[in-house]
Amino acid sequence: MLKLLQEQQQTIISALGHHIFLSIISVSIAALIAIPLAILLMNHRRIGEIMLQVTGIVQTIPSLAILGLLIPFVGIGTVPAVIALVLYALMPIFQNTYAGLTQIDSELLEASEAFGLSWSYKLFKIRLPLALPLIFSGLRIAMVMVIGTATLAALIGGGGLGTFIMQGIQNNDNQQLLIGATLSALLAIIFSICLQALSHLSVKKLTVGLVTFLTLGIGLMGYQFYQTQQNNKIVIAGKLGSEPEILMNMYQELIQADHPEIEVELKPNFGNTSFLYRALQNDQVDVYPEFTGTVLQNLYPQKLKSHEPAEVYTQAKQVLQAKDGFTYLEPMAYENRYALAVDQETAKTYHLKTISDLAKVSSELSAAFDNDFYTQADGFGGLKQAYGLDLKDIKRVEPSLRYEALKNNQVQVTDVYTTDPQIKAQHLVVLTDDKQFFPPYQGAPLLNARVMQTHPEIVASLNKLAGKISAEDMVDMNYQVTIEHKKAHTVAKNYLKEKKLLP
Amino acid sequence: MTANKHEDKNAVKLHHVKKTYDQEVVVKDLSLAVDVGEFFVLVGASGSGKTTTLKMINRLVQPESGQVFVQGTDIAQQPLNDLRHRIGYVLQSSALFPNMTVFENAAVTLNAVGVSNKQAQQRIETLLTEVGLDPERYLNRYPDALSGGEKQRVGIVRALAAEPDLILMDEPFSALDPISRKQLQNLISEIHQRYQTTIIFVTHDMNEALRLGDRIAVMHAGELLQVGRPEQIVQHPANSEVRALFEGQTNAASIADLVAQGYYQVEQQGEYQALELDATLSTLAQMLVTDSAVLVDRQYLITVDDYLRYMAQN
Ligand SMILES: Nc1ncnc2c1ncn2[C@@H]1O[C@H](COP(=O)(O)OP(=O)(O)OP(=O)(O)O)[C@@H](O)[C@H]1O
Ligand SMILES: [Mg+2]
Repeated sequence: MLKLLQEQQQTIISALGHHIFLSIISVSIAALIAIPLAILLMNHRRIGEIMLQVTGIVQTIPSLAILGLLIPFVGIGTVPAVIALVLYALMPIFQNTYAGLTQIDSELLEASEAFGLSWSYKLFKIRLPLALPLIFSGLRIAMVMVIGTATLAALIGGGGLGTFIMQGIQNNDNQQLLIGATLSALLAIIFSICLQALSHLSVKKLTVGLVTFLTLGIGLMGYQFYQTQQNNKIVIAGKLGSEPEILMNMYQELIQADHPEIEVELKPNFGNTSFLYRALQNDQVDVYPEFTGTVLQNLYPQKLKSHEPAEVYTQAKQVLQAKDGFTYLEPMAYENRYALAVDQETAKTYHLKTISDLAKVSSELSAAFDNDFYTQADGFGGLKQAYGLDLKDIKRVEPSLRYEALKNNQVQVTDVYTTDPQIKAQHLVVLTDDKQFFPPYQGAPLLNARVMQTHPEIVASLNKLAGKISAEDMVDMNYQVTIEHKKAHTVAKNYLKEKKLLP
Repeated sequence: MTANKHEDKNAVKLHHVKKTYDQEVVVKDLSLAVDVGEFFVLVGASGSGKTTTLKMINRLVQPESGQVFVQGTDIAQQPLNDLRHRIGYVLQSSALFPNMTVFENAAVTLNAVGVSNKQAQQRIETLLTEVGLDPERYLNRYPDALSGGEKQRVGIVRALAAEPDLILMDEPFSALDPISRKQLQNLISEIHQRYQTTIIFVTHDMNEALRLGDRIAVMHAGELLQVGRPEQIVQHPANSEVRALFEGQTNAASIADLVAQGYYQVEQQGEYQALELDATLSTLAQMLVTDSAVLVDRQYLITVDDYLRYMAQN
């Protein structure tokens, strides 16, 4: 854990910084909407009550739904994340401010009337200061909630600590999950304390501070938004992890080698495939690498006509063209799917090359499987039937513990992804799925209609990867990025040069 | 309308005012004139319309019909805040703003009329001293750190600060303990004598009304039953309702008044006869004929000497 913290220091700090930025800006905007609104409505009780209901209802809309609705209008990244967070933060701030302003002792209000005090004096010197403790408790509730919810930004490439949580869930990596969750909890506590401290400042100082901060923050965000709105460039995105990031960088290098005039922007780390796909539909993203299996199993689920990779690709290509007018370019060589692996010694002793080989000796061997793999029908359950596997013992363990068990020879067989860098790190031998039980997952660039119209010339550049990159190559590159912590960009460029795809 | 344009000798004049809440008439066609410099007390049972009448003078309540004149001007014809800056207001709960210090509270009206902070501070310090609060100790305290009596003293300072033509007081002492009440009654009397500010004072304590008022108006169900000097009202009540209200009440001082002025000892060893605070001075005198001292309200020991010194002063 400490080691991971040290290795990823840079990423963690920048994710933390972005998370803080997202949270503060969202709560500040929400405060700037909710507090004046409460002031406006404090003497109009009926409308005030209605507003209370409305902000409450907004809160019950699931965050995924809000993000989905926002993508067509404001695209992806920071802006929709902030809008969603602002919507959530409105309720606690409005509710508390409204309560604070309307529950002031009526005798005090009567006194302020009777002394002939001005409108602004009554508001800034009497009502707001008296409501301040409640307003701050609203801000604190909002802040804690927003820090927790801001992890959703990772779903749409908005960055922040959510990236660790998503990555942790995806890779079944508890350490990353823990980093994301712990830091976000710590942040919540620290901010809560800071707000408590701020609550002793005067209304005037607070107003000035809030407005200054917001002007800066919104300016920054507006600048980012403006940049993403510039239409002439190509936006290449990718899901979470090293592999999509390496591929994105290759796409960029290949395009810019042929067409230096084209501007390319990279948007890595989308935590949610369907949001990424939506972004492609809405021209927020122009290109991203997608797997054939994912298209037919997740995006447009349908029965596979065959497990033959070429046929699966054709089926996927047709669906994408028919549904969205997307162009699915030629796939690369490697596949990224489930597989069984053994250590080198076991492979040698039992002469194991394929899963059929394993089936013959399976009663002598034990396995350690990831829980998901074990329980899914298209995981071990189906595999066992297809090959007649009859393992001596099966342990269901944490992914990270599997390799320990292998090293100690407690087990000999485990499940892996075919491009898992651990294959290299642990010196594993991947057994060929000779009966093609697992559906093939081949990666290929997916392009929307807009980019095909504006930049058809990039197709030739991207097609240079068709049929390239073997599973071993990908394992090796993933190894360099995740284990050796090399930059995805460097790794991608080196590979292309080595294969003479770049001059 | 027959209202006279020149009402100079009247600080306040209500001219056929009427107020209805939810179809119920709360103040019925009421006319009343309060002289400049007068200490005018409004008494009546709960719900008789005292507060409503008082609030029509600083326009916290808008009369449905009729007119209200302050210093001869129809208040409906002048800017609201100008009117209110000239009228002090003291509520039953002191209604000090809890987020402001004693000074800031007392200076709100001075602030509103644009008096400099320095001048305001001088004025507030003088007034605090006059109501028996040491400015050095009290100026920067928050209301939280004040007793009920101290709060009400600050409330009085706040009402006096801008040198108003008129002060409205709505049961200002009814939430206080008997001793503080007596002390503040004495205090407001002194202040009235010193500044000669017109005061309209609402209470439902008849004894208080008799002690303080130059004139008393008795209200019942939104109407005035009688307006007159205290002895007139006691000796010649206009009807049986007024008589019932003031029966057995005299403006004679009770023991509380003696204690309020500090004529007692705290030393309490030994056995003494006990008396309550609302007992009359004559009861006390009778007991002091036989005993050397009497224990009042379980805490104030009053000796013959205390009694004699009090009688000599009053
Ligand atoms: N804002 C209001 N809305 C409706 N009714 C009111 C309102 N203010 C006063 N009333 C009613 O008007 C009547 C007179 O009230 P007011 O406060 O003037 O009485 P009061 O003589 O001051 O009584 P108390 O001695 O209890 O303070 C009462 O019946 C009261 O219920
Ligand atoms: Mg009242």
